[in-house]
Amino acid sequence: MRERIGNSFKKKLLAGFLIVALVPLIFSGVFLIRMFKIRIARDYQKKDMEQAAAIEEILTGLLKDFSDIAERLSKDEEIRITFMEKDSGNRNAVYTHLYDETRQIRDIAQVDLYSSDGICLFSTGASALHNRMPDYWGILKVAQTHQDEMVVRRDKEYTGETGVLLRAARAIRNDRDECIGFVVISMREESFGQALNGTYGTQDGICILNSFWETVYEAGTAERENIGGVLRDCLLRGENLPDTWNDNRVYISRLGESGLYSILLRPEIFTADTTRSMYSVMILMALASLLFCVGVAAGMSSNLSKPLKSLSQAMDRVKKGELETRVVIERRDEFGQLADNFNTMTAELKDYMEKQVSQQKQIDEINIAMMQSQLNPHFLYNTLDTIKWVAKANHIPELATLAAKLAKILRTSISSAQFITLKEEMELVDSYAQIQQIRFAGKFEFSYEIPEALEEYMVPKLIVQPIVENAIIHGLAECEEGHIHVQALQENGELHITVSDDGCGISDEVLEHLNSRNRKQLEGHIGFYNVDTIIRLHYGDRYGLKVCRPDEGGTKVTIVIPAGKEK
Amino acid sequence: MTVRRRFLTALLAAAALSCAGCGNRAAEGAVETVPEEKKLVLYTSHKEEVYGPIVKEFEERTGIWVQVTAGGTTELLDRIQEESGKDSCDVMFGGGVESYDAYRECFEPYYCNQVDLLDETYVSKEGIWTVFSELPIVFIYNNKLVAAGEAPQGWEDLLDEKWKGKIAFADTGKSGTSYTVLATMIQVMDMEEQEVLEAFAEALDGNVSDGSKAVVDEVDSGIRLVGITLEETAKKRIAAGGDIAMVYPKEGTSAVPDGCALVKGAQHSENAQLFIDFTVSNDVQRLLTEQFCRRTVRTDLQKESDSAPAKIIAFDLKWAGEHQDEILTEWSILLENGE
Repeated sequence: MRERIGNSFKKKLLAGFLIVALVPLIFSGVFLIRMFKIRIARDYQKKDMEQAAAIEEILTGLLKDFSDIAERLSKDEEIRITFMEKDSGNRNAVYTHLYDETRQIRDIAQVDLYSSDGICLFSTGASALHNRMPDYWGILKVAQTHQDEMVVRRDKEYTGETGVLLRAARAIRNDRDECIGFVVISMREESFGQALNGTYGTQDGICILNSFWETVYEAGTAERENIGGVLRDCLLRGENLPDTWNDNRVYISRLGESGLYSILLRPEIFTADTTRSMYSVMILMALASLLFCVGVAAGMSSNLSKPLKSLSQAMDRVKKGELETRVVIERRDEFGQLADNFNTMTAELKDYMEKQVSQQKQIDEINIAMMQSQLNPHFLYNTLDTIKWVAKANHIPELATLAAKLAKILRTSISSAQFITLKEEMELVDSYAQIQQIRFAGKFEFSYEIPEALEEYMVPKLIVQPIVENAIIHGLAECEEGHIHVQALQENGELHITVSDDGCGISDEVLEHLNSRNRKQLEGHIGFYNVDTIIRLHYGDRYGLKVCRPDEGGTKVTIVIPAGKEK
Repeated sequence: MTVRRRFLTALLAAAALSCAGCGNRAAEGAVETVPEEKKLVLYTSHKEEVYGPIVKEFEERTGIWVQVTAGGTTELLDRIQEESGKDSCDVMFGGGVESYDAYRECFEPYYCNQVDLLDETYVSKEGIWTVFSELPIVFIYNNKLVAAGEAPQGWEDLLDEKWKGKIAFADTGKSGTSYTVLATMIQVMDMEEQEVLEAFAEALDGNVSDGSKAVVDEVDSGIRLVGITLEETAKKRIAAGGDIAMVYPKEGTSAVPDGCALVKGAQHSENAQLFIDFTVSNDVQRLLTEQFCRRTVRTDLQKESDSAPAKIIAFDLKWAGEHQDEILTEWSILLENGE
């Protein structure tokens, strides 16, 4: 039993601790991680977008430079005249203009001047001279149709080193608006790296796509992930472009009207891996606090259950009768108080028990004395009977009556029944009165009156006799001729038995003592006290004796008990 | 206990909700997806240097997005056959036209818009395929080791004792061209089939090259003195500065055309037709003669083309197809005996 209490207590404590410790931990852990992620992601996204915007700005700026240079070259008088006259005499002048105009972009792009039929006449590069580009095909064809505008195309070279390049072209026109040549700006893949140098980190990726989402340039993670191809496939499949790709966030910006797109890839701050490790840390913490909870719960429960256990053991010992048992708990908390109370209680219990024992001892002594003094009642009864017959034989009627009445009283008083009928009680009282009349030689008269209906009502044995005895001994003590009358009547469910005498009347002192039930002061009136006590024990405090001195003199004692034929 | 459990469930639900609240960032600068009518799915067995510029130009001119799958001719044709009805591929581009005939059930007859201008030798009667270019077989020789006058001028010259063991010829198992060479010799030379094969096997003296690229490499580096290959391959090596020169056999040579075809049940059939028309358009055909060292199939361009005049025989495709297994078996037996 004790073990079970200990266990369940421990379990309850543990469960309580676990809820209190783990639930907030897990909840706030998850919440924190989520919040942290959202917050950090938002911050980084902002930064990333700024970075993407910076790249976009560089590239748009670059394209703007190209466009401006192409425009200036295509409108350059020297160049136009040379192309119009198909005269190569001014080659140096043309080159001077070409190199002047292209100064700022020459290290990243090559600028060529093509004739109207697609032959490269002037070039800032080394190998392009005399190259031929079909004028019916590709960028030159488009450039012819675009009035006063630069066109941009992705091109791929297969001869020699295969390479992707971005080409921008603008037609050079004569005064009749006919196409007489082209300004072609070619930018190789590697030059993009140069132009964008420093705008992206080693973990980033950058990708430039044309209007058909074909890759013009890619570097870093974009190259590894082939993001251009991935996005193009997405578009072709009719899917939305992904926000993230393999733990990289994807930022797409459009490069002005060029039809080009720049894609920035930034590594995801929170990869599945980081998140997983954050959650693992949380789970580890949860486990640690779980262990901690188990430990604290065990400590707490033993802290609580130890005093309980020693109390419980002490109680067991008390149960077995070891009343000198004391609990020693050196604590000032509730358990200390409990132990103190327990100790006080056992001490008091011990006192009480000792008192009880001594009382019992007294009672036992009385009983022994009583038993020693008791005679066999049957012997007394038979003797009285013998006296009666001897008296009758010798014609001494008073003695016969005395013996007969005494035998009757004796019989009633020694019967074991505690309750008798009112009639029986009154017969007993009558017998007693007759004996006393002989004794006191007719100094008083005794009468009683009981309605027939009340004859069978039950009353405790010997409650009227002591009152009558009291009336004879005390009430009529100094009278030459007295009357004692007993009357019974029913009132409000109560049985009133009145014993009245016309004697000297009860003294004020005794009356007061009676009504206040002061036993000690009732020496000599023990009969009153006993009757009153018997009635109260049987029926409760509402019932008992009432004593008064009527105006006409004498004493009137009323016995009040509940009326009924039951006990 | 149930109350506790409910409490926990509520907590977990709250946590889950907080999880659901994050993520979802729209990419900047929304891009519309490509509508179906602006798509074309292309399978090609051409090299990227051939299909790349053509596809690119097609996209730019029409605004149609082309999804390219490159691979070997047979591989792609098998795939088209498997996918039949699944509308995956719209047009097949590249590979000898005889292959298209073999897979005729996969293709929808279509006559391109300029069919009248095409060399009628190369027009499919049922419209199964549309021709793209012709690829004549030529001789090459190392121009440092062999004088132009001494180089073999015709098929018969090749069988001369002085070229024995000095001819680069690709393994028939590695190069489809090699079978065409054998079939051409049989059709061109005034000899019995068996005699031709025996004589040629003897001229090779048991030497075969590991593929068509090896043929050019071997001649270029002087390991072999002469070789047999496609005009396109030879021209490209010459353009790249290789030490080789080219001879068109005087008895005539075959020029097996390659082509493209509209796949049956194509989802983007209209775009596929546009593409087929584009492959035989003036610009593309001009580009392929000028840039790809191929021969155009347009009669109007053939006239102005500066390609050296070659005697092209009417190569019997049907006969070649029917006798392929037989000739190749015979050929491998002869080669083994020779070794």
